[in-house]
Amino acid sequence: MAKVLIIEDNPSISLILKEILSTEGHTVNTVVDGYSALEKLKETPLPDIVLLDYFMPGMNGQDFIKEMRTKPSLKNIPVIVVTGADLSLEDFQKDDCQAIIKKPFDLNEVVEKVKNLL
Amino acid sequence: MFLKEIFSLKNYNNKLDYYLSQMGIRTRLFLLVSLVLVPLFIFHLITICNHFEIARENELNSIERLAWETNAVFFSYVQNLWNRELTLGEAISIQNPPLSSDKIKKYLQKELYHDPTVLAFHWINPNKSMIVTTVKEQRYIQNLLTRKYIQSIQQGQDKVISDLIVDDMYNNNPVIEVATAIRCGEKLFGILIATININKLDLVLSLNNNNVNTIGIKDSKGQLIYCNGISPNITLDQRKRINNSPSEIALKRHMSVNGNFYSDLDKTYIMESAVPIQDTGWVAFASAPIHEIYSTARYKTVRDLTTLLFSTTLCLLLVVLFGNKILQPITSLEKAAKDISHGKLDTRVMISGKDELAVAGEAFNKMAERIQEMEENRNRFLKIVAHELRNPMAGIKGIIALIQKQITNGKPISNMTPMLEVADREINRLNQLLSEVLDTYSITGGHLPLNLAPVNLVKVIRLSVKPFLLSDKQKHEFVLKNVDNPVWVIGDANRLENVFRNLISNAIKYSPKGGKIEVILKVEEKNVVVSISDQGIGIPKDKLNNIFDAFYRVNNHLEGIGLGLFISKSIVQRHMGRLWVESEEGKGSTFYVELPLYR
Repeated sequence: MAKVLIIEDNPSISLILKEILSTEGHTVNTVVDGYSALEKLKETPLPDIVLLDYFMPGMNGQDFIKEMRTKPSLKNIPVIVVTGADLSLEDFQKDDCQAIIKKPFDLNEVVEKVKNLL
Repeated sequence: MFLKEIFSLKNYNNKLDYYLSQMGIRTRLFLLVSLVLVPLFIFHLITICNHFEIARENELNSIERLAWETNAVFFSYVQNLWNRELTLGEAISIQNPPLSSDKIKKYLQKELYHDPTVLAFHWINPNKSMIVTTVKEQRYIQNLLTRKYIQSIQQGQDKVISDLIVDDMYNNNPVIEVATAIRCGEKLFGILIATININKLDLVLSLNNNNVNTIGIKDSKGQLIYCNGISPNITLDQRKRINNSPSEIALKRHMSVNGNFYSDLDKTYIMESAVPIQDTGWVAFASAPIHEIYSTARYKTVRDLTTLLFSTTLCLLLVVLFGNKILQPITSLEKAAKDISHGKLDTRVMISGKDELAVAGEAFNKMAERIQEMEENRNRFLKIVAHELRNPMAGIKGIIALIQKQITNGKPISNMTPMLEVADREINRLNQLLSEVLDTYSITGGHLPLNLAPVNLVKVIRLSVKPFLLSDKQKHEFVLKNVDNPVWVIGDANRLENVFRNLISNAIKYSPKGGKIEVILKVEEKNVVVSISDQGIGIPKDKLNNIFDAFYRVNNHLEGIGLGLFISKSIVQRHMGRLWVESEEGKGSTFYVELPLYR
């Protein structure tokens, strides 16, 4: 199974995503904003996939993706953006993010999208 | 009755207003200018008419003057002639022994050279037995004796003048004869007659005259003796032509007459002034065709009228031109307003200058900006609300799905209790969001409900801070000052608690980990001021004015709906208080809440 990093400031959402993915057998880590995430990504092993909330205090989702893609080691980690806003894949640069999960999300949707990108 | 009159006047005013409102602003402007222009135009028109009248009068006066001059010149000519005849005649008659006819003839002939107008002199002795004449052809000299004036002289008249004579004696050339009786006391010594070539009268009557006017002389029968500008070869018939001219009226009535008549000869209307010549029964006249008289006046009138029309037209054209210039801002305002009403909210008007319209344009642009901002705020609000609502919903939905999965898999759900607590929290969060939205609409609608009662503000502040003391994981340092003695205000305890909680929550949100948050209460004479300071990022100066606006967020990426400060400020204002902020970027912000004290 895979290692998942969840970046989400809302503790409830974070908790639920963690619960869903752990139930599927993934190893899940959670952080509350972009800065903490970048700190976390300095550690090994690196996650196989990142779930990213778009609106966050401090460093938001967009800035985080930009920052992450500049680092060679993190360049190829797939990112799924989780957002309540009306965003679509077209709103992102190619390779910025690989999938979007819209809030409120379906349990199976989360499981499927993670599975597809592994 | 009086009231009725006022009512009808009011009615009239209403009608006027109605008609004015039906006109375009362009038409109204035109009407306004016309109100000034039309009286001026009429005034000028009257002046031009008066000038025309004066010019006509001047012409008439000059004709009349010319008639009098003609009269005077001709009369003095005739009088001179009479005097010369008298001198001549006396010179002839006083000779003793009397002169022979030959000598008289020579004498007369010598005299002829002095005056080119005189064709011949004749001498007739009292008993008509001797007729001496300077005329070469002697055959018809007896004709002289048949002249009417000879009888007049015999009846006692001294100075006479004949009417027009056409006689064999002068080869049927028209002439006049001027005769003088030479007497010594009652006794007639002789008659001296001068025949005048009327075609030579030009020499006498060459008055200083323009070419337009005609001057002339008629004998007592109305026959034309002299007239300048007329061919010397005109027939006798033409000379005798009788028309109803002023000169004929003057002849009949022996008085000067001015007037107009139609001349068959010239085929036009003529203005004539006629003056009787004294002692002769003749008349002198001056005339001019009416169209000639009017032509000068008409020329001036036409020139003046053209100038007037040209200047009026030019003026109106300029009015239209300037009107368009003046109205152009109004037109563009109108167009912009229409555009905005059709949803083009980024429309702005470009009005240069410093006049009222430019100010109106500026105000319009500000209004448009405000509308655009409000519309953008509304859209952003909907997006934010949707976004903020989806977070708790996502949580609740996820929890339900998890529980369902547990049930489907036949696993126990007893370990799901923490999840249900999360769901409960999310529902509370949803509820709070909805309250904020509803409060905002109550505030903007002007009816935010308050439960007013005497409230201990110190207690309210302590209650507001308490939850943060427990839950703050970033270990901020909370400092409360002057919160020992109760301070009373009139207010809604719950709403005031919301205000302080919101301000403290903001202070926490924008402060670094472990930053100091100070809540200081200060009692003044009539008010109490609570200040909440943080050591956070501060607020940029250009955004200080906006932070209390609904849906405004300094940083768009931050969580929250952007209503907290708007609601807080409205609540404080409803308490007759003030909420304001002092901030320095990078150093921190201080929010102040001022409320009136209850004593």
